[in-house]
Amino acid sequence: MTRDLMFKDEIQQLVADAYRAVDDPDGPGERNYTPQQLDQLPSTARRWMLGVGNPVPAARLREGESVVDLGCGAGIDAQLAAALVGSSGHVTGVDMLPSMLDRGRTFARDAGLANLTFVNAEMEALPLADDGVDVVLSNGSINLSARKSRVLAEAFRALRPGGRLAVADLTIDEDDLPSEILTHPSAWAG
Amino acid sequence: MSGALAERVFVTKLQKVGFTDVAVLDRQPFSMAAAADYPLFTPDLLELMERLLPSSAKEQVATAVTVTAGKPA
Repeated sequence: MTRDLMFKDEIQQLVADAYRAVDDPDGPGERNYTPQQLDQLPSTARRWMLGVGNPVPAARLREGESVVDLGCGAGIDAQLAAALVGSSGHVTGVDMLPSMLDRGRTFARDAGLANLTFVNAEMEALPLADDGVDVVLSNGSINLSARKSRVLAEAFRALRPGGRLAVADLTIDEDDLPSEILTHPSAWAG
Repeated sequence: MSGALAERVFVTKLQKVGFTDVAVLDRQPFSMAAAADYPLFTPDLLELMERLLPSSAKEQVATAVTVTAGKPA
């Protein structure tokens, strides 16, 4: 039987290795977005839609707001948010993988977005001041963390009083899945 | 997927760190077929799912939720 993964560093490394190995995905998360949203993105970016939902509309973004996207990957939701907050607003995409951030920077440049920056950091330790941002987004990333309470506490800390969180993520009922599946290493990254 | 929480646990964790007005706006079944589209689900994991899950469970191996919450003013 597959050995269970009990250590958070081991899980984080496994997730990082799995995402680092992704070469040319075919936009599995594309189904979650509206045609209008898809039209805003470069076709090359759409292939990197790895999220599980569409949290941007739920955030009800307004012009001028500051936004952070946790575990932003190639910056799909960050780009959509950047278009909504406009030039008076700003979006910061945070991800632990430099290769994903490089893609995000390329896609943002291709889309002509100057109000979007990417930061290499872990979502469990955000390099952000307290009470500083209006909105925290995340799409399919929090379930990948071995320290979810820490991620949520960091999101809370970074938000200004009155700020908003909008998250799309997977939930499961552990009783519905056999242990052989739950303990499979790939199931931590997928 | 293995790190995903039950919805009630996720909501409770949000509330514990201080979020209020926690709302689950959307729930979408995440099927094995959907998982197979993601490169993170490896062939051996998908084979395991194919072998161990009953047909009904393959239609919803997880749930994709959209959750909103606020930090009190």
